[in-house]
Amino acid sequence: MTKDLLSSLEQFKNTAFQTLEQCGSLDQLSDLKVKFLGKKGQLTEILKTLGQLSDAERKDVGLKANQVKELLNGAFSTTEVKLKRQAVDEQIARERVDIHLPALPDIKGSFHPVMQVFQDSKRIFLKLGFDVDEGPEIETDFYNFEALNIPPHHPARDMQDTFYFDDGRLLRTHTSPVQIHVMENRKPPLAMVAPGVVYRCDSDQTHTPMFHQIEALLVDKDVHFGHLKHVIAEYLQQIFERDLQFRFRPSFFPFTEPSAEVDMTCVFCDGKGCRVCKETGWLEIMGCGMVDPAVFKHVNIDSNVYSGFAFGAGLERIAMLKYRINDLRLFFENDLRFLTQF
Amino acid sequence: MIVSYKWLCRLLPGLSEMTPETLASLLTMAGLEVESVTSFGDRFKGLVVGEVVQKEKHPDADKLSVCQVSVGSEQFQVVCGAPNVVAGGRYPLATLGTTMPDGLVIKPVKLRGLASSGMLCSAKELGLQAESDGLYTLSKNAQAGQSIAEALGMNDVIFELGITPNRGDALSHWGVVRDLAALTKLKPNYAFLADDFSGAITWGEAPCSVQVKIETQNKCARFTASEVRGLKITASPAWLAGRMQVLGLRSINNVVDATNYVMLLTGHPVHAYDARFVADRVLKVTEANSNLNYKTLDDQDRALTTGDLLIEDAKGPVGLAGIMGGLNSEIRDDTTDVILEVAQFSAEQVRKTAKRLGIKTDSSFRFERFVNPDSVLEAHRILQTLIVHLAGGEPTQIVDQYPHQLIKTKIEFPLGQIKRLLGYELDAQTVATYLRGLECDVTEQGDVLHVTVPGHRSDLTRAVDLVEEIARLHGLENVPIEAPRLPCKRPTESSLGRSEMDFIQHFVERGFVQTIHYSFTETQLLRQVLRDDETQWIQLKNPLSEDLAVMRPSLLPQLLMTYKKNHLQSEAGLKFVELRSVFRKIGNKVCETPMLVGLYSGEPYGRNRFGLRRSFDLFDGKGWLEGLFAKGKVNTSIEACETWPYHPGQSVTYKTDQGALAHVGLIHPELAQALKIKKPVFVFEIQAQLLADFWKKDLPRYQALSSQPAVFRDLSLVAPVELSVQDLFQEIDRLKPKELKDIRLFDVFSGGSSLPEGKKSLSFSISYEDSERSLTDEQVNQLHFALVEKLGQKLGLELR
Repeated sequence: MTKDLLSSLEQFKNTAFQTLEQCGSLDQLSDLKVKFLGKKGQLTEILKTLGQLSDAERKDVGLKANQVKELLNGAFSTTEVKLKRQAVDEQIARERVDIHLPALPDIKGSFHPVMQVFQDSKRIFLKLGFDVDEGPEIETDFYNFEALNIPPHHPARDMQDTFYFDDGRLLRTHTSPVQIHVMENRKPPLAMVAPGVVYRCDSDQTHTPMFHQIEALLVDKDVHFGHLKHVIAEYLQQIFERDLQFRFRPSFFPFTEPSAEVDMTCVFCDGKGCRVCKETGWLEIMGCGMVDPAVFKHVNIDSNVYSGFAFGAGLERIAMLKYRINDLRLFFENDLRFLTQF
Repeated sequence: MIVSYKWLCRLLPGLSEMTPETLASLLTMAGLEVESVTSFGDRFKGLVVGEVVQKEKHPDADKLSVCQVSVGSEQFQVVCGAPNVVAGGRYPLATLGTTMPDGLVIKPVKLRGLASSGMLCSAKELGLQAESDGLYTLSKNAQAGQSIAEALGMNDVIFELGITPNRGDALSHWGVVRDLAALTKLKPNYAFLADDFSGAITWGEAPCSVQVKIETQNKCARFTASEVRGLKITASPAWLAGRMQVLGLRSINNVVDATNYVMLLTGHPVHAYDARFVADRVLKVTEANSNLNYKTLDDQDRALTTGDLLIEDAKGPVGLAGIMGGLNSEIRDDTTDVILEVAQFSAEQVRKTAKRLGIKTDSSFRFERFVNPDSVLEAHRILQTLIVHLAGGEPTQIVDQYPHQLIKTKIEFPLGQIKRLLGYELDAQTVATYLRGLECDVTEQGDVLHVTVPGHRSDLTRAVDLVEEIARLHGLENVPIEAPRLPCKRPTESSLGRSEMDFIQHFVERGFVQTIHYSFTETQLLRQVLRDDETQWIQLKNPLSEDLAVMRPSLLPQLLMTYKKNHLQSEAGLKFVELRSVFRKIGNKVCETPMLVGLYSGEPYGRNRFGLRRSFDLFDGKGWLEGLFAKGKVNTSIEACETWPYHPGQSVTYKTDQGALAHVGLIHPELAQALKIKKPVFVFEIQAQLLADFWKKDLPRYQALSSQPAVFRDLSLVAPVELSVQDLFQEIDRLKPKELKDIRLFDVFSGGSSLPEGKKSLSFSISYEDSERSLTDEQVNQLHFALVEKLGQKLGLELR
């Protein structure tokens, strides 16, 4: 009797394992589990006859039956894991796409490169604590020239070819008139920048009749040229996103005294000398100086009490150097092939 | 201005220790910017004097000669086409391998079968003249084989200086030498006159027969005149002709070259008249007192007006003072007696006249920037000495009238100004030494220097000007870098300045490309695009060209042109945006109005494999604009746009309580036709200042998040076609229960068999939510149907 039972258990086990091995789906697997191990399954059927055995025999057979059950349970779990993995693998294979096909195009707009420099410049100066001011593009002779110490019939007027209107007004030739508007309306201490569009009656390879400048002005007690150097270095190093060396060359602007031109390390050759910097290692980048007392006089600021610095830089020039653009005129041709590069 | 290295070295002994490159950098760092350095030795490398020792006709070509050209040590066969080549003549020979000034490289060639090793050159080929006929014939003194730079007296290096307008004193070799002397502490030799002259500067003893009259109040500070009689006009010697050439002037004859030489040396413009054509030997400085025409020596008729400064003889004008001589008294080949003039004229008057007439001469350029009257006589003596040296003749005494003596400027210079403006301190001794180097008289008195400025430095009038001189000489590199103290407050910015980046970024994120157009455009284009009051347009008085002649009253015309230029570039849609001012004159008021303007057209994606094919329409624009307004919490309402050039059936105007804020829509069919635009093009214009004024006035205020779920219901209504969705939304807004959180229109249709005539169907998705409690289905249904019922009563709408 015991022997019979043990052999039928053994037979049951072998059959079950063989069937499991051939099982190909999770549905079939759960059917098999009911069939072999369920409440009304084959193992239960076999064990029903257990009652007819003696205690000792029952213990032997019970032990064997439990072993078979555990073995089978384990086999079922393993098979389940295997089948689940198979199912996922099949799903993945089914859902596989050609990843090399082009994507749904991203909608890409672009900022004008000069406007990027414009906005970056504003941000840098706001962070430093400078106000941002604006002024009219159509100006009077007083604001554009006279108040900036450029009297009529002065050769300094030749430095800036001017567009005029019939009523004597003009298109501002620089952003410096904003200095005057600001100093007329606010009292020192003053720290301001004025980015904006300016115009000169000139058009060739290296000049466009319209371009952009940024003007900076700091007026306070005891402002000296060293402060100017600091702010210029701060601004240019941030806008070019790199360390730079500077050289200040004495020059002349009617509204500053002393005046200087600022040269910075050539960004094309790191100052080693190349075609762009005419082998000097330096690039001219802006004009600057200490506010001329004659300018202070026009706006009733006492130059014995206050001093100040001012500088003005061309934003197109900065954009050209920063983005390696070799033709100024591209900025205003509005060619998509150019604009979408930025 | 151009200066010669060789000449500077002659005037400042010891300077030749410095290479041209070092000298250039010294000048640049002292404020006399060197814009370029040119070595004629390098430019003429490979070019030597060739002597034609034998010349034969080419056997197979009538116009070619076969020349044996000697360069001393060697002889070359050169085939030459110039008609003026003669045996025994000396010409510039470009040897094999030479790169000509125009870039041509000389290689061995065969001309009609005969080998030619080199090229004999004309003045044009040397880059010396714009035109020339035949070879450049060199003098007999030229040595075969000698370098051309040497033979032409051009073995020199020149510096092109960008002299700033305040430095009239530096527009001469003397001027540059003065600065160099201060910088190098070398001693100038102002007495050096010419390469082949070792005598002293002298002047004539014979009485001068010229009568000088100054008949202007204050436009002529000093006038000097003298004569040289019995001279002979010849070509200039090689050294002088060469110097003229290197300095960019054409060599004319010995007397004219002498006048130019003196100007380049001293900075004094000088003039020589043929004495035969100065009536009664009178030279009168006078102001034109009526409008008259006068022919200057460039053969141009010049229209003069009252106040223009003239030099007249007994009969009439002989020159435009300080600008240009007259054709009538020009030096000719047969001139024997000359009258010399060295003077000082009003900078302002010379500039006014020159500017009005559009003349810019070496003379007017210098007078405009100030010429020192104190050194007029000295310049005159140099001129006389040089002319006698070059052309012979008998000089006379110099007649000198100096009615307006130069008063030298005296400046009180507190040393504290240096520390105050430059940030470094210098002792009185050092400062005084620098200033004396500039020929200032300096007396020290404690911390104050009393400085008398030399006559040539008219730009130095105040202590601050002296600070600049110290900065030039002591160097700006010595200024210590220091962080400034900035006002301790929040920086201010205009409302538009603060928000303009948000505006542009909104559109760039949506695929727009930012453009920049010139502020001026062409009248013709404006007329084509706008229907406008043209009296408001602002014309430039001196435009660069017709297509840049009027300030734009709108950005649309230029944007439409940019569309036309680019629309073939991209298969997918085009989107442009620009934020800049437009200009109008209303009455006497000039209005600059910042506008945020855009254009879009085409298909968002072009052809694609994703099933995403549609063309842009009005509702894309509406979405972008409304999205922008929502971002800034700007409340608007809409109405149909009736403004030109918008399509009346497909355009919208956004209004605020302060007037129209924006238009968006399709361009009018008539405009599309006129511009030959075939695809639908949409544009928008937003009043940027108005938008900025409304923009994000309030910061967002956080609202607690509801933990209760939202419940969704759909609603389909049948409404009369005339009912505006804007009105319906407003009504819903009024009637809605507080639990209604969101409502979205997702479908609209009219026509078809299921709807009666004159009706449309509107479908909405509505979400309900109560933050206090979880809404049951029943509660939501109650709220929903109560709303439907109210809408039905109020607007006569039926549930579908």
